Amino acid sequence: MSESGPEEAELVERVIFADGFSERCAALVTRLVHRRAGREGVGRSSLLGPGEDFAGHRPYRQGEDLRKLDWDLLARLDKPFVRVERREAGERWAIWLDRSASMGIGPPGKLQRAAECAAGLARVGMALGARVRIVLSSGSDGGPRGFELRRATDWGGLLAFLQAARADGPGGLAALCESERPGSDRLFGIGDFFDAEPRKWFVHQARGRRLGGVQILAPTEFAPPLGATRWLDLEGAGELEVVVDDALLTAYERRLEARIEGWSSAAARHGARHVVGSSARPFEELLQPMLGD
Amino acid sequence: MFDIEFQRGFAFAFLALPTLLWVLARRPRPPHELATGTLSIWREVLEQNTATPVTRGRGVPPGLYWCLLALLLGTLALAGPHRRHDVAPEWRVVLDTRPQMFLPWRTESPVETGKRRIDVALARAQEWIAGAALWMRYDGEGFEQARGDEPPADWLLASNHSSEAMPWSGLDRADSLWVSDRELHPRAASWVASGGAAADGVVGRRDGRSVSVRAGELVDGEPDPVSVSIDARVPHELRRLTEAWAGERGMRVLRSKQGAELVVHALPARAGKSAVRGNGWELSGVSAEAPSGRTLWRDANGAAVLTITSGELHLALGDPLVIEGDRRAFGLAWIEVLESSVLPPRGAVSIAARRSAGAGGEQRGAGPSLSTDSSPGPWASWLALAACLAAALGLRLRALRT
Repeated sequence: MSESGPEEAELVERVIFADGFSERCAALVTRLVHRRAGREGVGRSSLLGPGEDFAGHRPYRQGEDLRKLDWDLLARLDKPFVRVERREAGERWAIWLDRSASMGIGPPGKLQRAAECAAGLARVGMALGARVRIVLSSGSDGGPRGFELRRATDWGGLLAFLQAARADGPGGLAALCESERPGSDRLFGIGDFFDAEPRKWFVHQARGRRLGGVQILAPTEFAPPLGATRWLDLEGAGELEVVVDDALLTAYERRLEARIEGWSSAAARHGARHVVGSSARPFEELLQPMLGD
Repeated sequence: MFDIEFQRGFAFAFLALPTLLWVLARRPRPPHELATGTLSIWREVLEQNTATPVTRGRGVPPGLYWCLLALLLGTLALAGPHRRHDVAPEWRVVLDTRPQMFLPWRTESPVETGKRRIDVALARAQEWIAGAALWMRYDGEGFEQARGDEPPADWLLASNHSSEAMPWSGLDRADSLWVSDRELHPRAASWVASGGAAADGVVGRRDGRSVSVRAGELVDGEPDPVSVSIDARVPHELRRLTEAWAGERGMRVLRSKQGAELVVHALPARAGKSAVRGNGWELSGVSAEAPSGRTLWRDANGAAVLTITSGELHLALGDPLVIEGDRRAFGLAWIEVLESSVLPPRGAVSIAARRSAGAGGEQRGAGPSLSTDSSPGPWASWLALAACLAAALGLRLRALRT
């Protein structure tokens, strides 16, 4: 008769990178960075897209992406030229990772997937020559903690840093928005985004800095089970007992959709990217729309 | 009110299962505890849906309702409901219609009543029978049956199509009532006997003359030749042989079967050949439709080729007919069939049967008892079908919810 099993209440507070995780990150880099670099002139990663430094013009070659065509120049000179941009070497990336207590909800745990996304992003940034700094939100054991990835030898340290993280405490992305200054060319936020507000997040969208958000929800947050349930907020916001029926579930789904849509439309307005996914999805699937076309 | 009974009452024990499921589904149970990061959304939703009751564990999923209904209907189907209706006691009246039953019933007194033995026996039997009965008579091949207050009228007409022996023992059961002219000795059946005085009259035929018994002596009567009818479809060879036999025996050959004491006819031919073998001979011809009656000759495949029913021979062979082997042996075999098939003269009763049947009598056994019709009827099938539909719907709803 039970609509849900006890496993749904399990918390997954720890981060454990499985064997082969580094290889998966390397494959992701190959797929997103190296392959695109090999297609120079045809189109490049969105990380290298609009907003990069303008380097000049060169004549259009047959078969090139027409999106690169400088239409103003074509109108004025009646000859096709493409814009040549280059990524600035030594770019700085910041990755803010929400490790508040609610990120322990799963399985699969939201923090687990968020940490995988953070590591994957860091690996991509490293491959592009960027300096990557990962900042964890403050837990019950103190304030925010950071780790800077400068070279390939730091990769093992980064994984250890992330594996030491635990989902606890009330501070999430909202707290990071208050306490941190990105000081970077790119800022990625990874968390459930339920504690933050769009305006406080997108205030960091400064000139030359691009924002990307990876919003991760647990399967039970996307599709709550029917029946009598006591919902607990792990960050001290209380609890709520409710009998979830079809009508209530529909209302919940609509409101959740509206909340997510609020983030997506705000991101679109600011020229930022915002990806939403379940913690049940592999981290590569979450990062693909963030880093790809 | 509905007089409903169940063939398998023990099946109701299975009702414990849906009852248990219902109790479990309705039992108060603590809610699941789930952590969520969307508590604020739940609060907003509840503010807009204030009518939603917050109760614990009283919700029974709709799919479960249908599953419970399926179990209930299935249990009912298994129990085998049927409408009870009592069947009135009914006699199985075995009526003796042999020729002696149509002899005049004369008591030892000089008063002539004009009744026959069958009339008297039937009147006695009907004193016991209230309402309809199952009437039976033996025609030499099997029992004919008819249900009603009275036996069929033609059963009370004398004929020469009867058997000398009655297989009483085959119907010796408590609800049987044997109706005859003399005392019987069943183990379970009831019986009535008309009795009856000795009756002079025809006992048979000899050399074309009827033979009667009169005051205990056999007396030859007037010439009374046997009448034979031969169907036009009878193959030429057999027709010729039959006519020769009839002429030799001083019989009359009629065009119509009306009044004939022997009828020989052939059935319509159909495709294929058929052959029957005898002692030194073989008869073959075009096969015909399967005849009815008691089989006298069969072909190699066991199919009936020649049958007889009450003085009528049915031949399932047609022209061209071929007789191979010893034609004389075949002729004798055919004539033996003809001789044994001729009916006795109308009204002929054996010498023994014409003797006195005594004073008659009766003996009532247990008789038929009140019985109940226990046939299950169509209810169980419909209930089973409804149970299947409810189960399918219930499982579908459960699947949709999960």
